[in-house]
Amino acid sequence: MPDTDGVAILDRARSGDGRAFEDLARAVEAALYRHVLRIVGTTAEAEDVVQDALVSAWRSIGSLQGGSFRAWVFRIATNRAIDSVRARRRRGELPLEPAEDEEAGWAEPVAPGPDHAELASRSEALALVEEALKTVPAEQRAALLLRDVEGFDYAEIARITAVEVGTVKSRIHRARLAVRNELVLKGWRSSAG
Amino acid sequence: MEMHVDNDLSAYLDEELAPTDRARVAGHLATCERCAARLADLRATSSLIASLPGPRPARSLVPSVATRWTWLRPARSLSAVASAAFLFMFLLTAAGSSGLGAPASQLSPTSFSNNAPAAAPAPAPSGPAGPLGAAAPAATAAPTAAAQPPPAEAQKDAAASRASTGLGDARDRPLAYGIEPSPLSQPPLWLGLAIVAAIGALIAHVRLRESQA
Repeated sequence: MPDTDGVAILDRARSGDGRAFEDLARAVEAALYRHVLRIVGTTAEAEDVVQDALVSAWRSIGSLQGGSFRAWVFRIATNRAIDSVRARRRRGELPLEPAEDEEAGWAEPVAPGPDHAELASRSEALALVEEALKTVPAEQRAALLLRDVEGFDYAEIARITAVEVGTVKSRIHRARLAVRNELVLKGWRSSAG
Repeated sequence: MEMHVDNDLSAYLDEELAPTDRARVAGHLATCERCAARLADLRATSSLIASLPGPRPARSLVPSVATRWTWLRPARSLSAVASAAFLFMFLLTAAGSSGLGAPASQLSPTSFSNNAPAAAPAPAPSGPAGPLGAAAPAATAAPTAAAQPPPAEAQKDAAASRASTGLGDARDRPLAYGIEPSPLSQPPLWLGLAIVAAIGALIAHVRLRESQA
């Protein structure tokens, strides 16, 4: 879709055109859901968070002055998803996560494992990555998903998560390293060298 | 001894380093196998994460915010205005009915019956009159008197007349000036219309609110 069409639709949505907003929402619905699901962990919670986020976005779309609708709605959804995780953690429904500033070293391979290219073609490898992501603190996980899955740059992620770019850089590195370490400990090795 | 660049590897991979930092890291990677291997690990990890399947929701999560009942807006406004107008007519007709009640009650249906007092006979001429003149008034008065039936007889005749023409119930209806009341002057009509219009406006309002929820 040409950018001019996207801008026109956004302008109509900001003016109160419900159909225009629904079109915008449908374009990001799937990405929003998979992002929130990987943060909150359950389909029911993910559906609630996404629906609440889209309703909130509709009610406050008049306040969106320029910028990307996608980044803006991801901001709403990410904040709600992280708030949900924190609330469930306080209620004891989720285990405590490692402290965000906890330094993680580089795990050494314990035994030779399948090449990463081979793993990528197998569902077990992807399941391993999904499990590894769950061990990462929610804030770091959100930043990593926004970068590697959704393709936002660091500046956009900083606006989405309301932190400094330096914090985004640190979170992404720690999260990516944590996933890498989990894979290495399960016998994975990259095809380096 | 050159410091390793572990903490910059992800930003380098994502091309988020400032030009000077990028050049510094690139220069180090060219000479450090350890950092180069770790960069490869991070690149592979990022690639795996990017290739994760995208689960889709089982149902649509997009709220229905488009107003599909666009015609309800003017309909709601029209119903509200009509309700107010009908209420005004109700008040007007109610006030009018209470104001016309006094004159109507003073008039009796019997006022227009054949019980009206008999016409007085023509007065007798006062001047001298010849034989013919004196006899004429008498002759005139006699037929006049003979033409007026007794009051009781008049009532029976009137009842028979009304029955034959189907106006038997007319005596039970108040006849204000002898004119049938128009349906449009009935307060209950306007009150009913006001209530119906108000209900219509309320339904339209609720439906609009539901569509915007």
